[in-house]
Formats: sequence, C-alpha cells, structure tokens
Amino acid sequence: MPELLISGLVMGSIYALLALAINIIYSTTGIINFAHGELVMLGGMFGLVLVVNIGLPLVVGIVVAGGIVAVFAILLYYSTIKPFGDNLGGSLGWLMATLGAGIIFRNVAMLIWGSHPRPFPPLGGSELINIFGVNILQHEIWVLVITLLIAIFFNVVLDKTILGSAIKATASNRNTTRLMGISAEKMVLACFGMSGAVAAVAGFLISPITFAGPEMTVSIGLKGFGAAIIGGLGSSRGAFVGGLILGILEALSMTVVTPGYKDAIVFLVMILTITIKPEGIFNVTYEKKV
Amino acid sequence: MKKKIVISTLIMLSFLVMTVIGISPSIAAEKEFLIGSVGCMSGPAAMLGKNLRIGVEFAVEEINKTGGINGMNVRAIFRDDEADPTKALTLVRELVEKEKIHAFIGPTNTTCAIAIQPYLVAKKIIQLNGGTTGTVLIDPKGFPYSFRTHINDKDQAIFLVKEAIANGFKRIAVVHDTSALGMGVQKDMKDVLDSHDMTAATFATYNANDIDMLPVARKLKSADPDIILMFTLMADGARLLKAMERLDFLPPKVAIQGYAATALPIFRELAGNASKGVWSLAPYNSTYSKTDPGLPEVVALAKKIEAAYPGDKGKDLNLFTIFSYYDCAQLVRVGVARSKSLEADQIKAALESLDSYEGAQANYSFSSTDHEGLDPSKLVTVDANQLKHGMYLRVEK
Amino acid sequence: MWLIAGIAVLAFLLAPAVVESYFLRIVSLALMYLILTTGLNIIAGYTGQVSLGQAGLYGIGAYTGAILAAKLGMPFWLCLPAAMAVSGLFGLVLGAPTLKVSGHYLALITIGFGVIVEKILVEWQSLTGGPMGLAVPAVTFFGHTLSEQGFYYLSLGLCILTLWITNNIIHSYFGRAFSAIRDNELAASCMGINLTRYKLLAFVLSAVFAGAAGCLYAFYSAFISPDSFSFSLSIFFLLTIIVGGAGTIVGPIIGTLLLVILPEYLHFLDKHRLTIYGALLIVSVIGMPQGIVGAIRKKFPRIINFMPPAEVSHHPIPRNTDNYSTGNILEMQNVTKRFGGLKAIDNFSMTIKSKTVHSLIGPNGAGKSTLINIINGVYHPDEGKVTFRQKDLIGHKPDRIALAGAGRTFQNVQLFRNLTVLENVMVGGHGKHKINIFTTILRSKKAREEEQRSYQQAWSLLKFMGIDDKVSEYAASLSAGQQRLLEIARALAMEPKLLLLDEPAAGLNDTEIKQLMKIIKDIKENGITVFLIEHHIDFVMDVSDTVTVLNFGSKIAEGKPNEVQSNPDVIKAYLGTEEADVC
Repeated sequence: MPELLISGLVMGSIYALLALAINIIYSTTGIINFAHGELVMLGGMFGLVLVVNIGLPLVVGIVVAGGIVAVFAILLYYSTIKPFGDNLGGSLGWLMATLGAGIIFRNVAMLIWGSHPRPFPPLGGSELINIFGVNILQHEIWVLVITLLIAIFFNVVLDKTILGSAIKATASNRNTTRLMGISAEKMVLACFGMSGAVAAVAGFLISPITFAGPEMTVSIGLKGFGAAIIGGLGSSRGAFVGGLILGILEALSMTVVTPGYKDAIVFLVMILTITIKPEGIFNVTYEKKV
Repeated sequence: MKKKIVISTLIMLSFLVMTVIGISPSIAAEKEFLIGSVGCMSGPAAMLGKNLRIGVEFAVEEINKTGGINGMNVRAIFRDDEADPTKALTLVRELVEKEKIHAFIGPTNTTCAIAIQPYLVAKKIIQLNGGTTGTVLIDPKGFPYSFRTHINDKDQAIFLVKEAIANGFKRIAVVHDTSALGMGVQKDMKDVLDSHDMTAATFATYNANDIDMLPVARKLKSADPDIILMFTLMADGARLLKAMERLDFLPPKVAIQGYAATALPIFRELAGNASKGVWSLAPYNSTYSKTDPGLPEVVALAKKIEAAYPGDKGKDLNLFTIFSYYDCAQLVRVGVARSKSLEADQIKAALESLDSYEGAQANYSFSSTDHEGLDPSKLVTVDANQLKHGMYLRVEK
Repeated sequence: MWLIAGIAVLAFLLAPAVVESYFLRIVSLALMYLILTTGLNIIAGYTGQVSLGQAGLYGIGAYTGAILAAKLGMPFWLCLPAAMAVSGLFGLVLGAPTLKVSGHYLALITIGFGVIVEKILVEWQSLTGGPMGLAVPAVTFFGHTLSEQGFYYLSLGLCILTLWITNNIIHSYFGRAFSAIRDNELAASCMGINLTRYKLLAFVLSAVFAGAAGCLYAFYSAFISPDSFSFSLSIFFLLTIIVGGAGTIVGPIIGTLLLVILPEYLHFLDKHRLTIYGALLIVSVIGMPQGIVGAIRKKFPRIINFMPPAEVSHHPIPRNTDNYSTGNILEMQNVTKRFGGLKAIDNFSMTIKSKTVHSLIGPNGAGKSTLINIINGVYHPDEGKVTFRQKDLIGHKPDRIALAGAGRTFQNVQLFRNLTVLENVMVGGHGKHKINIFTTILRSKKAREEEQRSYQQAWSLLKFMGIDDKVSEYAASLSAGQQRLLEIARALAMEPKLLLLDEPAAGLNDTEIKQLMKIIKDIKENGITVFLIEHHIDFVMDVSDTVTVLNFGSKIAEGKPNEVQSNPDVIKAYLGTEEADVC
C-alpha cells in the first residue's frame, strides 16, 4: 500500500508539473495550450540527446533543455496563438492550431528519433534507498521536491507579486494593460517561455519512469489538463493540488477496478468536475461568455 | 450562374481525372515478381515494420543476385498500415488490385492480419507471416494460403513451461497482461501444467502499458517461485524487471525467463541492469554457443546486416525477427521454384512438401495440416544479454 | 445548385463500372465518413460546439451493430436503426455535461468521452471481444449476400439520404436556431430558443449519423477492433470539416472526399501524412477559417438573392389583442440586485401600464440595462418580485420569458453575424413554429407553409423598417443605425406583448431618430407595450407616456414626461445633461 501511495504521489507530481505550466499560459491568455504534452516530450527527447548522446551532466542538461523547449514554446505562440490577435475568445481556432502543432511535434520527433521508447537516467542514479522499509529511488524524492518548489515559485509570482497581477490582467483585458504601459506581448512571451522551461523539467523527471519516446506523453498530456481543471484553472495552488489528487486517485482506482479502466476513471472525474464545478477546487472565477 | 457552371464542371472534371488515374494500371516493368508487404511503419510499434522491411529487402537483394524468382527480377512494395485494420485492408487491396502483387509478406499486427486474411484467401495470394504471433491466424482449412515462420504465442508458452519442468523447476510463476494474447497464454500454460499434474505458483496479471508494476512484482515475490515466466510486452516487461529490482528479487535469487519479445535489444536497454541473467527463447539457428559460432551463412548474413545498420541506427533492430522475414521471402522463392508456377495452389503444395528447410532463423517444416514452420522443439533457451553479431548465446544446463 | 448535384450523383452512380474495386472501397469508406462528418457539421459547424469525440460515437454505432448481429443474430436492417438509437442516446450523454460550458471545457469533455469509450471497448472483453476485435456476419438481402458493389450503392444511398435530411434541417427554423446559438447564445436565448434543448438536439443528430456510419462500416469490414476508433480519428473528422468549410452543406463533402481519396495518390508521403494533417490544421484555421468553400466564396461571392414573397404585408407589426385585467403588464416590487459588493439595483419598484410607452432614463452607470436584463431573465434579482402578465418571472430563463411575450433589443447590438439580415429576423419568429423535427425533415406541406409565413413576415417587417433592400446581406455589413432597426424588426417577429428597447436611438442620426419615433408610435398603436431606455431626452419626452428616472440603482422620480423634466432631483442628478446626448 505505501508503494502504491508513493507511485501515486510521484505520478501526481508529474501531473502537477504539467498543470502548473498549463496554468501559467491560461493565466495570461485565457486559453489552454493543447500542445503542452508534446512540449514535455520534446524536453525528454532533447534530454536524451544532451545527456545520453552528448554526455552532459544531468543538471546542465535540464538547464539547456529548458532553454530549448522555452524557445519552442515561444515559436508555438507565434505560429498558433498570435495570429488570432486579441480575439482569442472569439473562436476555437487556437485550440485546433495548438492541437495541430502538437501533432506536428510528435510526428517530426518520430521521424527524427524513431518511435521506440528509450531508457533515461534518473536523477541521483539508479540506486534504491530504503526509507521506512520502502525501497524508493532517489529520483522519486527529487520529483516531489522539484514539483513543490516550482509550485511555490508560481504561487508566489502569480498570486503575490505585481508581475503576477500584470500577467493576470493581460488575460482579462489586453487593451487596458497596454494603456497602463505594460507590454502585453512581453508578458505572454515570458509566460510561454516559463511554460516551456517547466515542460522540459517535467520531461526530464518523467522519462526515467515512462521511458523516453515520442509517444510518451500522449495520455499523460491529457491528464495534465484534467489536473489543471480539477484544481481550478487560474490557480497555481490548484494546479499543484489537482495534480496530486489525480495521481493518488489513479493509483487507488487500480485497486478497485481493472487497471485498464484507470484512464477512463481519470477522465470521468475530469468530466464530472467540469460539469458540476468548472471552477475546480480552488474556485477561481470561471468566466462563461455572457 | 455562369460562374457556378464553371466551378461545377471543374469539380466534376477533377473527379473524372481521379477515377481515370485510379483505373490506369501502375507502370510495372516487364515481367517482375512483385512481393507486397504491409506493416506498421510509424507510430509506437514502428520497429515491427522496420524489421519486416529490412528482412525482406535483404532477401530480395540476395535473390536478385542469384537469378531472381523463376528468372524474374523481384521487387518488394511496402505500405504503412499504422497498425489500423481499416488501413491495412485498404492497402492490401491496392497492392493486389492495382500493383498486382504475386505474393504477400506480413502484416505486423494480429488485428490487421484478421482483417486482411479473408481477402487474401479470396484472391488466392500466398501469404508469409514472419512476425505476427496470434494463434488463430494460421489455419490450413480457413486460411489455406497463409504460412508462418515465426514461433506463435501458444508454442512459446508451451515451450517455456515444458523447459521449466524439464529443468527441474517446481514452483513456476507466470506473469502476463490481461489482453486476449495474455489470457490465451494463461490457458495454454495451464493445459501443459495440468498434463504434468502441476499447478502454477501463481498467475500474476497486469494491464498492458501500465506504468506502475510494483503491485505485480510484489504478488510474484510473495508466491515464492523458483522460476518466473514472463509473457509481457517489451516496455511493460522492462518496468516489471525494474520493479523486481526494487524488491531485490532477480536472478540468481529466482530464475526468470521471458518469451521472444524479451530477447529484443531495446528490452534489455530499457530494463538496464535488471535484465542481467534473464533468459529468453530463440529459434536454434539464431543462436551460438561458446563452442559453436553458428551456421556460417547465418553468421555472414548477420554481419552484413550489422554493417548496414551500425550504431544507433541498428538499435531497434531485432535480428531474429529480421531473419524470420528474410526467410519469408526466401520461402516464397523456394515455393515458386519447386512448383514452377505462380499459382497460389501450386505454391501452397510446394511449401507443404517442405519438411526440413534450413532458414536463417531456424529449420522449418510444413505439411498439409500444419502451416506453422516452427514448433517448440526448434527453440532453445538463451541469455539475450550476450549478443554476438545479433545472435544469442545458448544457455547450457 | 441542382445542376451540380445532379452531375455529382450521376458520377457516383456510374463509378463502379469505371473504377477498380479497391478504389471503390476507398470511395465507399469516404461516403461512410461523409455520413458522420455531415452530422458533425451540424453540431460543430452550425451550432458551434466543437466535438472531438465523434470517433467514440462512431465506435459505439459500429460495436452496437456488430454485437447485435454477431451475438443475437439480428439482420443488418434492424441493426442499423438500433445502432443509430444507441449512438443517439450516447449523444445525449456526451452533450449533457457540455451545456453550461464552452470553448476548451467543451473540447476536453468530448475528448474525455472519446477516450473513455476507447478504453471500454478494449476492457469489456466479454461484450466487445477486447483488443482482438469482433467478427461481423455478412449482410444478406433475401438470401443473397451483399457484394462489394452492393455496399457501395448502399453507402451512396444512405449518404445522399443524410445530405437530404441535413439540408432540410438546416433550411428550417431548426437550422436557424443552431446558427443563432453559434453566433450569439445570449441573443438566441432572448429570441426564445431554448439553448439546452437545441444543443442537445444537435448533439443527438450528430450522434445518430455517426452511429449509422459506424454500423455501416462494421458490416462492410466484417471485422472491427478498437484500433479503428481512436482520438486521432476524431481529429481527422474535424479536420475534414475545417478544410472543407464548416457551417456549409458542401464543406464536409469536399473536405471528406479530399482527405480520404487524395492520400491514396500520395503514398510516397505516407511517412509525413500525420505531420501534414497537423500543418493543415494550423494553416486552415489561421489562413482559411471558412475552409475551401469559404475561399471559393471569397473569389466568387455567393450571390444570395432572396426573392420577395408573394405577398408583402403593409401592416406587419403584429397586433396584440390581449385584454389586461389590471391594466399593468409588468410589475416590479422591491427588486435588488448585487454584483459582488456593489448594489446595482436598490429596492426598485415600478409598474408598466399595458399598451403604453414607458421610458427609463438616468445617468450612465445608473443600472438601466441591468433592469432590462432582470426583466428579460438574463439576470436574476437577489431580492424582490417581478410579474409579467400576472405570472411570476423570477427564476425563468430568457427563452421562456421571450416565448411568454417579451421581446427585446440590446444596448450593444447582438446580431447573428453569420446569418443574413432576413434570416436574423426569421430567428425572431422562432417561437411561432409548431412543427417538430420529423415533419421538418420530411418537408411536409405544413413545414413549407410555416416557413413561407415566417419568410413573409420577416420580409414585411424589414420593408416596414425601410431596410428591405438589404435582406440578402450579412447582418454585419449594415450600418449602425440599420443594425438597430434590424434588431427591432427581429424582436417584432416574436409577436411580443411587451417590447424592451435598450438605447435604440444610440448612434442614429436625426432622420433615423424621427423614423424610430414613428415606428414606436406604430408599435404602440398595435397594442404592444414598449419599455424604453434612452439618453436622448427630447426623444424620450416626445414618445413616452410615463418616464421613470433611475440613479445609482434607485428610483428618484416617476411620472408624466413634463413632470419629470422639471423635477429638481432629476435635474441635480443630470448635472451636465448636455453630455447625455452624446452617446
């Protein structure tokens, strides 16, 4: 049972990382980036190249990969979000465009790297540590710690600094923020960059568990959205908590139903949340077009 | 109104053009022997298609060097079905009706095979199956033109249990997934155990593609077996071994033997240290021993393939699967040569008369009631970690 | 249009004779997909609800048909309607959670639905055969097995039937309602369109077609497995609509045929096919949002030419013959409305006498539009009572209140941008239609009569407003003044008892204002009560019987126009009244 909870927490942290990055984009543009799972995958793939092929140390690899994926995220913005200008709420074009971009990322990655999964070095090596009678990898502790740190970072920045208010203001009304001298564009770019960097970190953290390959985030990506919604879009605390809840829920559901249904349960919970309480746990004001 | 007529005429013209192109025969060279091949070339299972392609291409090259098939030059046409039965059938139909293939090798997934085989039977096209292991696919009555060179699931299961019993293991545990393949394997293994008046220490099941294998590992450990038989998809198996590593329950504490997929290089790469000492199975010809480097032709072929796909490019290749597809193509040649005919019924009869054909992968025998080229007697236990030129080291007991 | 359709049908009928059978298979598949995508177009293209779960509905239809045939021995002719019914039911299941949300929430629900269906197909092995799939018995017709060619004609027939049905639905008040929902949910609701009912209807329609396509596919393939019903198929379906042109009948035809048949000629690009789809998705959505049909229409602008109806009424304003017992059509008692901490309306009471023109004036931000929104049902008050024609209004949705006889216009014009001027007004007449969906599909005499009546009424109203020369234009192309007149015409098409006008004179020039005054007088003469918010004081004084003054959410004066004008409190509130005229 304790191992189940630990693996639930670990997966939950991964979902939380995804949700945090999804959330920062939502906070600044009001939309969900449907290509986010693929950005995480790119983090993992570039990680492979940097750490396994070139031989950089893991920490350096994370930083470099973070930069690379941040650039990809910004490119994503320019090609799929910016063309819609300020009229993001007007249509769902950005949704299709980001979906399309995700498909492109995944398939080009497959062409370049082949589709089979590859092993990825875990943080802190492959030695097992025994804590309270349970064998865990150092890597798993790292996952929990890093996720917590990033969550705190976002929580502080978004909710407690002026930068954060500026970011949120950009989502509500671009023209007003422009009039106030804040460059809306710079805000959005910064957020996309941050989102990309966090995606890369997620890629590094998850690859040792799922093995690195272009298909690694197909289902995890969708669950990241679920986590963000369950916690409440617009709240970084929500993203963190939503992710953990989802991870534990998933782990527990395996004891109740056939493991094959666990994905179905996760999505069912997501659908129920949207139906009953779209604002999620942390009750961030949900804007329905009136 | 005029504009509307113009547009409508253009649309109709383009449709007509398309249909005309659809009618015209493809430009085939004079008297070529065409082998059509459909497999999964993209997506997560792309390596299956890759092995198919390499095996067939190498064989075709050799065949053409030695005079082709019945004097005709051989050309292979490959299509990607993305493991989707709908696409597989569409592509096979295109190959048969448009390209006019003479023989078919593939596909790489069981559901695709189920979708296309009835059509191949109706069109009387010889089919060589080099890597799709579903037991239902080979049935001389239902699918008279289908032959298989790869060991099927049921025979692998039987081999694993029989080997374990023969080697004196008493507490046999089995782990498999809950797919139809996995559940079928469970039944086959139970039957063998029953016939020896034995029961399994446990049958531990999990769901394919599960990320967390610790629960399964714990179940296995608590059953206290002396050997664990793994019928797991590659990535799942790797994760399982890593979970077993956490519980400190690996060889030599317990013997572990897996089916064919656990011999794949990627499996060992993914499992890392945890795969040390884990046994697998392979057909005899794909193996070597300390004293016997293997059949010279096979070794030569292996070296050739290795040379063509060095380093990283060769990472996801599995030599004995490639050999299997290589043998498929060679068997097509043999069938046509012996029957001196391009007719499926004649080729079928010729193949059925083979009771000992030495292929790269193994020695095959067919008959009118048995279209499976291999049987458990042709398999051996191997240590897949000791590869030499892609061949496996036999484990001597 | 009929010429093109005729040539196309002929080409398809002759195809089997000219074309190789493997190519015929591709076309058959395309036709089956077309049945589905035409249905998807109803919910996504016309109603604006982007569904990424159609592959799930397709799979449900396929497996229902397959299971009924394989396990119960039912013949195809029974399996097909059963599959359609089951899929339709799941269309309800899919649509229900989406009603209160939109945009990405909607998309995620549909994606989740598709994934759940996929997992169930794989896991519930005793029912579905699991990953190894299910074999489907052949279709027999009086003892003869349906051949390849037979299936082609069957698909063709069903496809043409689907297109015919869809065409009839779209060119009816149902279709207008769908488009209205897509263009402006608020306005649609205020015109009497029950959002829940119509959204669910659109979902169910799309599901029924998806189920039919799935069942057909299952029998055609003789074998189905869960691999064929993945999320990427849902994306593919949506792509065909985007590429072809969403919200048009022809769009899915072009998109589906193109994306199914073209790849067969481009096998050398197989490796890149998915990448190309991704790129197509991005390019279409950014550069060609109306699809190929839209691009063609840009080059060859569609000359919509509505013809005037046989009879144009010169007195189109619907006469209201109700007798009111109390003489008050609307009563508001102690209404309070808060937004967060702010009290927008504070303990407000007012009665509107029937068959009068009652105006509401007050400085900007006084809460005037909020009042109309409360009457109309867009907002619910926190305290107080509102009765309309002796019935309690509180808690009802805007569409019910609209159907009860309250029509309105908006301060910021809320038109249906993608509909023509005429169609906009016809949406107003939505509540007057009585026929159900089946009668609509069959295009019965009653259906045609209702349509004719609506057409005539709309035209007459527009002529009365003086903008009948613009009937065939898209609503967005009208000038500001004309748009306001259009809104009034649309509201009148509802045959309201009470007409709520929110700043109808805003942005109008003097001539237009005079015209508006006349229109309001005409409306009053026909027995319709008018409740009017305005800033043009002269206009208000001229036209009104009663004037109420609102400031900071409270009533500060009420009475005849000249009484109110000389009220000192009113003058104080309006310090700097001159600015009020500049709107």
